[in-house]
Amino acid sequence: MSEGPSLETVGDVIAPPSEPGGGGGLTGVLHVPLLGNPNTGKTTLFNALCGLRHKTSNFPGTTQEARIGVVRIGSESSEAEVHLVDLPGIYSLELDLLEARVCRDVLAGRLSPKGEPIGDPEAVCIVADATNLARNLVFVGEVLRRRLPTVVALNMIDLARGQGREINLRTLEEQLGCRVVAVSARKGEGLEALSAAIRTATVPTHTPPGDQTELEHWADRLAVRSMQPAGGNAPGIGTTLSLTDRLDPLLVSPWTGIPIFAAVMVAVFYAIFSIAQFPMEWIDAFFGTAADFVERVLPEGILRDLIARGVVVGIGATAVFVPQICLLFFLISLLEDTGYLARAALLMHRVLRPFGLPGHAFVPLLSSHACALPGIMSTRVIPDRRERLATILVAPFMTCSARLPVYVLVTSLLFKGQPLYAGLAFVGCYMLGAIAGLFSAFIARQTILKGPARPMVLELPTYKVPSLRTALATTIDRGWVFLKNAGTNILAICIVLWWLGSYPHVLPPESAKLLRVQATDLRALADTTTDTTKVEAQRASAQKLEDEANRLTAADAKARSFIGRMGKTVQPVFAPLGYDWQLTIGVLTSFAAREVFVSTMAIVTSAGGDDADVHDEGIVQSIATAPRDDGKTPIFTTATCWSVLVFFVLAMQCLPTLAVTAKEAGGAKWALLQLVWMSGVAYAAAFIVFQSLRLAGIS
Amino acid sequence: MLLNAMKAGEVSHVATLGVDDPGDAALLRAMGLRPGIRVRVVRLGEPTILEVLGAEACGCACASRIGLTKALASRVRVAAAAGAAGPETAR
Repeated sequence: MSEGPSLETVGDVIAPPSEPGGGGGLTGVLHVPLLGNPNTGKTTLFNALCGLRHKTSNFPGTTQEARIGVVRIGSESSEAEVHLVDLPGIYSLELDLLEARVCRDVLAGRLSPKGEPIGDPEAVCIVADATNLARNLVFVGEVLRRRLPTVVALNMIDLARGQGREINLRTLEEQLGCRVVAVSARKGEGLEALSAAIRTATVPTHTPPGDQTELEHWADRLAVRSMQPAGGNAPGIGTTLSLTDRLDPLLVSPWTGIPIFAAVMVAVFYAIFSIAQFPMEWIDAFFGTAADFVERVLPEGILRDLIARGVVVGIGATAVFVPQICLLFFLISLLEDTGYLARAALLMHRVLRPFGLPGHAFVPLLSSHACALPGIMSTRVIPDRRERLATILVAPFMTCSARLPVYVLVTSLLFKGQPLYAGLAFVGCYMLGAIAGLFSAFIARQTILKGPARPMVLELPTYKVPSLRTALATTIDRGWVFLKNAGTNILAICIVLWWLGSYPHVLPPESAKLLRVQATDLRALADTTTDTTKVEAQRASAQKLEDEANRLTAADAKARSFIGRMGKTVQPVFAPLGYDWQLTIGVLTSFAAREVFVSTMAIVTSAGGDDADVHDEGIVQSIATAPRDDGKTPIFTTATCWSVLVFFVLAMQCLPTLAVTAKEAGGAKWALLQLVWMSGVAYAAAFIVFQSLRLAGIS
Repeated sequence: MLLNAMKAGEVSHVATLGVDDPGDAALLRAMGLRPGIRVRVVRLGEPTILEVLGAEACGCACASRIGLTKALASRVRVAAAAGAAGPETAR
């Protein structure tokens, strides 16, 4: 190609429109999308402008998340309310990706996060990285071609200056035909000037070339031209190895990268489990107190039972996992911000590739170790559809925090007073889940999701000190999404479970009545006895009889309730796994949400109330010794314990996850497949474990 | 010559990408890896790390770093030596 057209003659030159709204610029509500390449600090800028005040919702009809923040600009008399929409970071508007389509539709006024069409945005803010001007200007050109009022935020200006680069903003503004504001989102510099510029944004006076190749050349020339002529000492190339140059090969090579990766993951999970433990205990105690309070305040009846045992327990069961989930997202956000996660994804690509998953799947799978819901939602970073579907399908195999109470219960039954073995069993459960997930992905990619492996390509951002503000914003966002998604569903499930477990009301069994009569007789006897030591003994025996009567009543009510009948009907299905009807109830109820297993078992075995806690020695002891119907064999034999453990590692027992899978994968059939496959694998594995142990003489 | 044949630390101009899939080619191009652009090899092998440098006259004021699989990197052809081809002629 010969010399391309010069900058000045490119495209049409359009006369600048008159300034709108007088001196202060636009007033009222302005819808302003925030666009940019990934890793330009777009989200940091969004957080710096809006603080932590923002809402997260989905663009209607898509799985694409939209964060909207409100910024008020100007004095009271002429205030503008800017509704800033944080769009996904993309490399080009023209790419055939969901994220790019969302950006195109928002710019065209076809899509808005609120649902109702709002037409063309009043202004567009493009975030460009000052340290990588040429590539960012290609994107700026693509947006300018849309001919919307535009402002360019030239971010990381402090870094560029630190590297000895001066950028001539005047030249850039003249050539782009729109306002360019130098900002540093991290340091909070230039934010006011940016807000003012957004308010007075005008349609660009030039239109960049339409052909992509010409646009790239236009951007190259513009980048060269706007660099201040030899002002600072621009760094040379290839002369000295920077820290990044030394660190990158270490982090992505298997020999050094995998041990570093393992150490980072151990640190993250250690932090999650050791720190989250305290708020989890407080939340647990709070909901226990709340349930007690309701029972004391409200008159006896259905309403009291519903609120105390259905609603409060339901909310508490979900809320207790919030600290772990928030902490995980906080740490992942910090790690991502340092630039390490991109290197880790590149490293993990090698590990995941043989199973048909890309390196991008690593963060979603890691997140699934807290909860599959945010894990599945974060699969949006995977560009290939088949790889994304495979990741969604297997994400719930990862050990989520809802499985932990079950692991704690069963491992403490198996290894009482042997914390080392219990810990090893725990690690084994994590590994079993991960391995089952990877092999399931492999099978899916060889059959229903067969297709070529998409080659991995990923930008490696510069290493940075992570921003606490960004991490905090992400944490609040994710915690809230989790509470909304899971809270409502799990609450509904808990209410249904409470109803199934409490109705129909039945009269106390004869045996319990008999015990109560005996207790009353003993008390009457105690009242007439004069010997004080005898009175004490008689009263104590009366209390014991009454406790036993209460236990019998509760167990009988449970057995004859709807759920008890279901348990007895379905039990033959689970008999080959070694479960009796009481354990079957526990398994059935946990198909909706696995964390209810412990409280269900506590109720069924009448070990305690709904506020059962696995850390409570008494409850574990009661569950451990609770007998089957024959009165001798414990419900949890050694073989049954292993079978239950394996079943819970592998089974799909979470309604909210199924709902999110259907939504994210684009069809209920994927959720059904996930349910059938995971539960099938779980049943088969638990069957093999139980029957092998039995054959080996371990029962 | 192929990008694979370069040594770590060397700088060269990209001649052709050689990527068949239009989606992949478009993504690489949008990420800045396109004919005429200068690249510096940070790491070879699996995975390959490249520093994508901007146009010649920018100095190295426009740099970004991308990691990619060996399979992808091995298709990229580069001009024999740094500075041998300008951004306009290498296309």
